[in-house]
Amino acid sequence: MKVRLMHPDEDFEADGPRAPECDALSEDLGLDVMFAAMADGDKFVLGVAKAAVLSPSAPSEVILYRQQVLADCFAHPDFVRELYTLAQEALESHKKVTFRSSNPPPESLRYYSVQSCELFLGYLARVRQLAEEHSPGLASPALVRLCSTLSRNLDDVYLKALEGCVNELKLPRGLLMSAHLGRANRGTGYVLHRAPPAGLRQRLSLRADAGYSFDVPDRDSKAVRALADLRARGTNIAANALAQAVDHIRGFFGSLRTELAFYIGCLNLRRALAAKGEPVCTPVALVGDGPGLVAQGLYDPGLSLRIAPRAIGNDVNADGKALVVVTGANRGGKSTFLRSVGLAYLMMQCGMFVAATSFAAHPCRRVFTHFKRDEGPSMERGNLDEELARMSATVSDISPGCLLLCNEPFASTNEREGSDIGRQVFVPLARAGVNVFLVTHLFDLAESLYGSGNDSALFLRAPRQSGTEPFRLLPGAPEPTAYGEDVYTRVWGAPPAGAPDRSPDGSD
Amino acid sequence: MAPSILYPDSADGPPGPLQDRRFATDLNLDQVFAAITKGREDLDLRPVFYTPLRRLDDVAYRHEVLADLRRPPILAALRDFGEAMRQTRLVLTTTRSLSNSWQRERHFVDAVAVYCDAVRSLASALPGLGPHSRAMGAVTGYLSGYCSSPGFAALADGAPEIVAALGAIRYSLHIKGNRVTINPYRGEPDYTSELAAVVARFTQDAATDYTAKFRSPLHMNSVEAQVLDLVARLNPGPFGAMHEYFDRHQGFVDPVVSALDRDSQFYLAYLDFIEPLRIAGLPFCYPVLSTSPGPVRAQGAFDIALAAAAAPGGAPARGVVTNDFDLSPAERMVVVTGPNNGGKTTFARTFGQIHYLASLGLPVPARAAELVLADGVFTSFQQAERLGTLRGHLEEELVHIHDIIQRATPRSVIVMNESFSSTTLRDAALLGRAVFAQLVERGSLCAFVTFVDELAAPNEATVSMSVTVHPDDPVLRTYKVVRKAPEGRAYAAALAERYGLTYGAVEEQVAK
Repeated sequence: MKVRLMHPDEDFEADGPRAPECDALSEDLGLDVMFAAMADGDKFVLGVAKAAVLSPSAPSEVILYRQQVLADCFAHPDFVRELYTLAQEALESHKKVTFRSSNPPPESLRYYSVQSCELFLGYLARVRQLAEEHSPGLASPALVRLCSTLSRNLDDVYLKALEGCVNELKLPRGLLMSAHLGRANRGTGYVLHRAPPAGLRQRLSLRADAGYSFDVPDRDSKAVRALADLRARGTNIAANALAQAVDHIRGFFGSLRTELAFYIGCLNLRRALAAKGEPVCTPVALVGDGPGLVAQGLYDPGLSLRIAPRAIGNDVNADGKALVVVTGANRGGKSTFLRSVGLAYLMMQCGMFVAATSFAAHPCRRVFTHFKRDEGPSMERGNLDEELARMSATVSDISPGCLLLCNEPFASTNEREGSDIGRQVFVPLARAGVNVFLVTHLFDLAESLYGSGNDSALFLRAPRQSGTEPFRLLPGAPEPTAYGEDVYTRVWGAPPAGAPDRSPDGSD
Repeated sequence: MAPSILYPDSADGPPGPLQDRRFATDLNLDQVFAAITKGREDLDLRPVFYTPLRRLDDVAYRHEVLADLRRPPILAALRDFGEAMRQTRLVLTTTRSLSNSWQRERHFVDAVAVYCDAVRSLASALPGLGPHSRAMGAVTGYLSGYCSSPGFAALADGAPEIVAALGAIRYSLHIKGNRVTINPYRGEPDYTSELAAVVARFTQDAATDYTAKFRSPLHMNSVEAQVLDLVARLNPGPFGAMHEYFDRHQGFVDPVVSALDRDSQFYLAYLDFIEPLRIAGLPFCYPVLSTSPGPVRAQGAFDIALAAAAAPGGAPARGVVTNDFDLSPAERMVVVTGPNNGGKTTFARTFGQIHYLASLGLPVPARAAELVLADGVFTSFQQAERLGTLRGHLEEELVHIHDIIQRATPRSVIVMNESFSSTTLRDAALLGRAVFAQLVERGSLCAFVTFVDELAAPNEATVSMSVTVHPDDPVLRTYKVVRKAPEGRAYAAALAERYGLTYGAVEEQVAK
């Protein structure tokens, strides 16, 4: 029995290896806030959510496959949560059935498999019942298939037969087995038989060729152990088969819990965003390669969950743009935009909804971030050194079809040099097919990129802030100023001396 | 007379093994013999390696056997026989440790079966293989007689019948609470497969095997022993037959077969030991031997102990240097001189080893060899000062050498290494000359390693051999010992320079 809610042909591995950029990604994009909302206190969901969001992009058809499951989950949240709880309970109860596989007492395998199987039998029946109740309302291929697998594999006749096996291995009528003489006349080749009912046994024992008996005295603990050993030889293979079945069932519940945990995380996050009145949409994962995205009302769900007011969404049409350069006012929402883009890609690529009113993009292979770092504990390198090393590592790792989100790169040197390095790095990356989002104050860099008349570049500008109006990015050419004096002014209560006199509507 | 493959029939029988084994220690042959007999300790082969042959025909007798063993089918037949006999011994040893008589008797039957198979396969193989040696011919005859004897037939035919009858027994056990009931098996169906069919739906991808791995020692626990007793009571026929067989065939191993097993392992052990050396490219040959003072020569001779250490498991024998020597009938004394660490001692050991191994009737480590069949190999190597004797080092040495001279004959081989080193050079020359004179008089064959170049002054009986050094760099040793006069140089300065111990280097170090 396979769960297959995350992929039509594969199990989802929550503890697979992660790409090296994942830590930076979590930090730079502020993913922890979103993960916490997805988990809603469930550590297991937290782990699965992290694994799913940070996995390399799923193929478009798998994204669609998950989106369909998610639609069912939105329609039947109680069913999904109940199923998840059942899987969780089954696994937690089974944890209490212990089995030491190294050097166990002779019959522990039989005890273990009988107890485990008996326990799981109850949960299997409940899972099947739940599936049969809800399957008529389901539409996604994955859930429909899971429900039909459950009712097909766990029919009453079968569950009855399995129960029979469990009961037989409890040896209610004693253990009957046969053997022959092996090396040095030692008994070998033990074969288990169904012990006859008591009445028949009595009749057999009255026959002329009825065998010989002996009793093992209770006080002879060595002999009692030897007897258990002998019993274990008879039940060994049968108990092993049952234990392997237990493995499978446990594996099934394990997969069920893991794969449902992802959707539980989605339900939790959506509930949290809906509580604030934030919209979400099912993204369109475009098939094939190509840069660019088209989005409306794209916002950073992490930011929204942190602040009281609703987040401000941006509309972006970067269709076919390999390079998106964002310039403009300080505190103009540039970094937030960068995060919202990264999050949208990550969420779309694992099959989640996206924090926007609409979103369409080609999935990208991997998402890289290049944000400012705190000065590390190392005294050996300066800031630029450290940054260049990081960029060089990124460049050696990145490939066409990846997304690179850069937040004020090369700012720890003068503008001319920083710009020059920027050109040396970003132009070839974008040309090679890396989708680059660049937030920069390096006017020289931004302007030269703008001036080169590159069709595959989009220039967005954060407008000068005037009072309480929301920050929205608009297409626009880079400007030599980011209105830093505005910030100064806010802080000092007066503009800096020598600042150009400009009206706050940006029409200088 | 029962045939032996080690010694031809003779009135005086095989000699006892040597008690004085100092030569083996000095020549490193003790290590070699330990390595050869390793894994065959239960056969006690070591004494055979300390029993040298004195007659040319005894040596020829072994060379014939070895010639037969060079034919792979004969070698394989003897190897299989040895393996089966080892198995027999092993089973018999465990038989004695079993306390349950039903087990002990069954194990005994198994041992007999292995033994009979071993004897029969060898006896049936040998005539077709047509061994040429006197020894193997006699063995072939003996085995064919033994196998067709009624005693052997009763032994050999009984075992499989008993094993088959016991193997056909199948019994059932019913365990309910603490009560165990034994019955004949009545054809009840296998429940495990029934259960497996039910759970198959969930076990196709089973990855873990949980089956308990039961230890299966031969010894049974008390419950198994009681079960076996009851099974015996249910099946008196087969168990009775087994018991009778056990009583009748105690001590079934034929003494001649047992000796054949041990003796053939003497050859096989040596062949197994030299095989990796052969693979590594080192030559072995059958020497031409004489008992009268003839020429003594060898080409490509090497130190077998050194080679075994240098070429473990047939790795290329790097650094194993082979040497030649060639003495006319008049030349009986080789004096080896030359720089330290140059291979003098190795050469001397090689000289002693090759003679001793030849006297065992075995192939020797050389490409070709013409040797004396020694009546004794004596050595005098420097020994650690022994506490507890009041005599000094030199005195100990002289006592030992005196003893050697007393026992030496023209057929004796004597190897001396750096004798008289615990005295002055003048003394050493003096003592050396004195000892030489006596040895020349005895006519024994000697190899004498010394720093005292004066001793190498050749006379008609003395040959000077010396270590050669590399023509370009005297620090490099060639380990080649060739016939030439001593050079009087030890090339020590060149070696010292390499270690930074020249005047200039030491001065520089001190000035730092």
